Amino acid sequence: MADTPITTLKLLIIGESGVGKSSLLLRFTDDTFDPEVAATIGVDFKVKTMTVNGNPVKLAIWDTAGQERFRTLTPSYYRGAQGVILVYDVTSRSSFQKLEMWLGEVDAYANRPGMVKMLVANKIDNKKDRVITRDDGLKFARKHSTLFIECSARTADNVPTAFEELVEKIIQTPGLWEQNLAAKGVNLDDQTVAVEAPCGGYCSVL
Amino acid sequence: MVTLGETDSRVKYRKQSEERDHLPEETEMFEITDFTTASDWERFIARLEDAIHDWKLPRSLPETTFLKDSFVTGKWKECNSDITDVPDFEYLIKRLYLPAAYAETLEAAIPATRSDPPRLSSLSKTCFSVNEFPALFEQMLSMENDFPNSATLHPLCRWFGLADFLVITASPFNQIDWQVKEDRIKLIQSSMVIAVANTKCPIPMFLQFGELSRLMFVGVSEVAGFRTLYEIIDLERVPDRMKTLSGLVEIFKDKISQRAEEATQLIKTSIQLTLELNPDEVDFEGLSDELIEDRKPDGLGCLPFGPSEFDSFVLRLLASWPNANADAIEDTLLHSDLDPLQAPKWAVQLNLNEGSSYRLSDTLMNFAKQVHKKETVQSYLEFLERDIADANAGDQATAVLNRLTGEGDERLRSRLSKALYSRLPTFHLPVPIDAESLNEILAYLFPDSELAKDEQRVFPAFSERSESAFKTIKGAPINSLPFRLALTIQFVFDNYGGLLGVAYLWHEILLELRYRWENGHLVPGVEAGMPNHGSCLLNQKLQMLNCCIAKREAGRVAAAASNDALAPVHSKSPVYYDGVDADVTDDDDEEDDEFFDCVTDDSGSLPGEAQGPVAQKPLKPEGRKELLGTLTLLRDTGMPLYVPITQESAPMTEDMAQEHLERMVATDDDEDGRAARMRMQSVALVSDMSAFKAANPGCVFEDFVRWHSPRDWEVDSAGGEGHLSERMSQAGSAWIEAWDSAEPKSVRKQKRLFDECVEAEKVLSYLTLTIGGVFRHALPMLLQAGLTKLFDEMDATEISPPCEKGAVLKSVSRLLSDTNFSWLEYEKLIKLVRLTEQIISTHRTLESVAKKTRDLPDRDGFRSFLRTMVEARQLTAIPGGARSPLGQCLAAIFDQRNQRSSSREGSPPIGTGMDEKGLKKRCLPAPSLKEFILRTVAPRPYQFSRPGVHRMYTSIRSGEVRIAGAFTEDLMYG
Ligand SMILES: Nc1nc2c(ncn2[C@@H]2O[C@H](COP(=O)(O)OP(=O)(O)OP(=O)(O)O)[C@@H](O)[C@H]2O)c(=O)[nH]1
Ligand SMILES: [Mg+2]
Repeated sequence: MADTPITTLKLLIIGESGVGKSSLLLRFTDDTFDPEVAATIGVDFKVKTMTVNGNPVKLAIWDTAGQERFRTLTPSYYRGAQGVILVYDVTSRSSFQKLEMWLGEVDAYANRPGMVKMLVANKIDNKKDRVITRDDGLKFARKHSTLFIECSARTADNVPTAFEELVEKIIQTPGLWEQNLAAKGVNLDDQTVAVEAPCGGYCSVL
Repeated sequence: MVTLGETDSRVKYRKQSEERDHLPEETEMFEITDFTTASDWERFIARLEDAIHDWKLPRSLPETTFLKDSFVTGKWKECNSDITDVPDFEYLIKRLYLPAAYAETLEAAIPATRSDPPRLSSLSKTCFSVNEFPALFEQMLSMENDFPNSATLHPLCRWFGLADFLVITASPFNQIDWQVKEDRIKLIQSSMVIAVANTKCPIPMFLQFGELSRLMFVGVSEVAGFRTLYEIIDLERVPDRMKTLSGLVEIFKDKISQRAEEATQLIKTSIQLTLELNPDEVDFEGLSDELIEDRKPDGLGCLPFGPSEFDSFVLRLLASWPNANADAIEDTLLHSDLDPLQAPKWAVQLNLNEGSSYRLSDTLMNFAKQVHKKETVQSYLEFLERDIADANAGDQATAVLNRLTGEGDERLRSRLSKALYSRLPTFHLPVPIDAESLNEILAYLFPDSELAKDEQRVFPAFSERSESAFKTIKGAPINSLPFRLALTIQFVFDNYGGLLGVAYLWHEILLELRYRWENGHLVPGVEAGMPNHGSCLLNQKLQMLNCCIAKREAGRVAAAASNDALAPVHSKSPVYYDGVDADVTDDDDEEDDEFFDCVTDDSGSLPGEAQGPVAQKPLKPEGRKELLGTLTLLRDTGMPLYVPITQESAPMTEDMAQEHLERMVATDDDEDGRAARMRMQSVALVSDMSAFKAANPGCVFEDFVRWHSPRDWEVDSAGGEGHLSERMSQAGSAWIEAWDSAEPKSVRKQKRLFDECVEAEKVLSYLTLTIGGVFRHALPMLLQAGLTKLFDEMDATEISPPCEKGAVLKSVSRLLSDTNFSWLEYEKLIKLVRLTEQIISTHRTLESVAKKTRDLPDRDGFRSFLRTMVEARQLTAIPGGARSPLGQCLAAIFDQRNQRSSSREGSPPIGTGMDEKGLKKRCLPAPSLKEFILRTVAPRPYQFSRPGVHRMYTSIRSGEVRIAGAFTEDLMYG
């Protein structure tokens, strides 16, 4: 019972196609880098448990496809998310320019008051092709009051830190997450809690 | 343990008169002579003593005097214990006390206290050395807490001025029916006397007997060689003697001394008269007519606001004479000095009636309570349908049916297609909503219908609030169809037979929705576009239905355009049932491939129609939308690359998306699961690939990537040969798999990703709800409407209501968010809404009263006073009483001649004497409550005894007089 997670958090990774969202997730969950990981079709997810202040916290991380043609389902993925990781590629100016559009989506669809946003600059290992400076990223993050971190899925630089910071910030935000009611482990599809609710609830994990 | 000496057996005791007409002066001696058989009784006394010891009561109370009003402002504390192990003596013991924190120690206060009016205590001190005067007597003489203004205070505090005492009551286990046996009360009381004496208990001990609500007590205390007995008399018939102060003073004197004429002691009195004004009950020049007008039931499209009945508050005027000389006041049946207009102290208090109901909050609560009703709408209709073996049954049914369907009217009403007649249940019982009202309701909901145009009624609409937080509520746009549905359900629920009416209404609405789907009319009042997941599910379902209707209509229009020979879709003859318009599709016509809207095509979805063998490599390109820049095919140089017409992505309601997510979550968190998820989601991708292949004969995967995922087509900086990115070039990847499986097929020939026929039926069957479901789906909009109403009223009032808009919105949006609905929070919210509603209405009524009151001296000042009074709802002193400007205003609104109430019975108003200062003579109502406290310090039982403190509290209201007397006797010289 000691390792029963105290809560399950829903995180979402968004950003243009090819910025390295799936690679970041793979690095975080499996600590590997695979240049051949397929472009995401629709959406994918991974589950990982990490420890915050000695308490196990379960993360359900949803990795969305950046490609335009897959975006129709996205609104529903935002629902219930406690944290959003917005990724751009420091070697691609267009991926940086599209950030405003992505933030617009977040504001339109995310429904958790107080949800934490984190801006992640990826591929900083690729110094030769870099076009977006650290300052550019910082400025954007400040303007939109998000967390900001630069990292590389390839070299693993800062990747765990990024997730840890985000989760810690969520845990520190009162009212953003609920303690597991029962001591039992939370199933991803546990809906029993919501059944009695008169307004048709859904499990926040999804 | 218990030593019963000779003195103890001579316990004196006051007979508690059960017979109403016995007056308190009759006393009786009670002698206990035999203890040998009273072992249980002795054990009971021992237990009582144990409890006193256990609580470590101080030997004597600290010498304190309680601060003004500390009885009301202080936090009372309680200790509880019980006696369970003595058969027939099972009792609960409670100590109730006000911690000394609310008192100031006498030491510190001596100078102030001594110079202040409580002259009685300083007078009595002559008989004691200063330190000896018991704190208990100090409490009984203190005037700081006369007539405490609190409904929750223990009555013993009010009656005897006590701040620390014990009460024992029979425990539920007590089998002895001692309530009716006087002997039993005597027995317990004498036990208390013994216990108090043995333990030197410094505080009084009471026994509560009889029904708890009757508040009957007897009590005893013993301090400094004085024994005080406490007793209550409660009479329903008020003897004349007890009606006036003069009579009460006589009774008081009689009790202290057998020979009243000998009693020369100064008797002090505190008096308070309570005058009540309930503006709902009296008539201020037609005010109540106005209020009734205000409160008539609201029509369709509104929510009610305000009290559902009268008696929501009462305004009390407290006129008091603190610490007067009892003998100097004349108050007899013939003449009274106690004119409220002359009272030195005035205070007012506004009391809101906790129990009265308010209509907006009631509406919101009752509506929400229905969400748990599990019966289906259908089961209610079956109740209506039930067969009657009556010859007329058929005729009746037709009649009802005709009424329902508007048969006989030439123009077909919007709400029913003829195709549905056969499916209509035949109602034998009268339907809960008559045809006329139903028409009105449907006209409100579907303003685009013929019916509505006939009705020509303008319905009230809500205006959108500006608070941005309103947008965070998962509801539907203000005045949209779902919004109106919620109001209509509420309206029908209240006015047309409750749940049965709602079931019938919902049934009608479903018929209308089906009619619209089958006849291709968009449902009015529904947000355009894809289902908005930020709105409630009902809204999304209606949006979905409209998506289906729009898509099928677009299909029909396109089909009609492609084949002029076809009959127009909006033919006058209703289509009874059309699955897919089988007669429409005509695929051979290649020229029509360039329909701008790819959704027009649907032949592929017909389950019956076998997919004919499609040419493997169509020579002719199909389904081209536009050129993709200047790109050309890689293999077939020179051939421009075309963007294909693609299938629109399928609209999804939140529950569909949810289902989809659940299916994904059900897959494993590994490579296999990942592949399964990709396959699940690659349907749209394969469709795109098929369309691309059809539009670009001879194309390769690389061509597709260049269009679909340009970032994965990497061109060297030199601008030469391009190549696939590493991740795309992986053989066996989901992308390549999908590419290989995709047949070249224009969207017209593809299986549709979105089948509006199936989806529309799904929506309609989803909406076949339980009755609770109907309420559940409408609740968000009812709350939106309710808050809009509440906020509008808040804006319209001058007072600042107790509810903060932002917090309320936050709470509602949290309640309706999809994670958790908490009843506790809902109840809290409704309670706040109710209080706000009550305060706003109360202020409104008071304002009208002020407006109606003639010759109000300082109207503006008084109005601002009313505002603060409604906001604070605290006892407010009126310095200067009736002479102050504020007092004159109050006297004016209390003046009965400003009210037109004729039916008010009761004694004639008092205080009609001309004011000597020439103030306007006011005619105040008779007090509803008179309270008197008499106090004195006098020797008892004999003239040579040491003087003790005596106190008598009396309350007189119509039909009840209650006297609570505490009389002390000296045990040393007694
Ligand atoms: N140099 C470098 N390349 C990276 C890094 N992270 C990802 N990439 C590469 O960038 C490409 C895209 O990575 P993905 O993780 O598939 O990108 P994505 O954001 O998931 O893309 P979509 O799924 O299409 O939205 C891959 O070829 C990765 O190998 C990084 O930190 N450094
Ligand atoms: Mg990806």
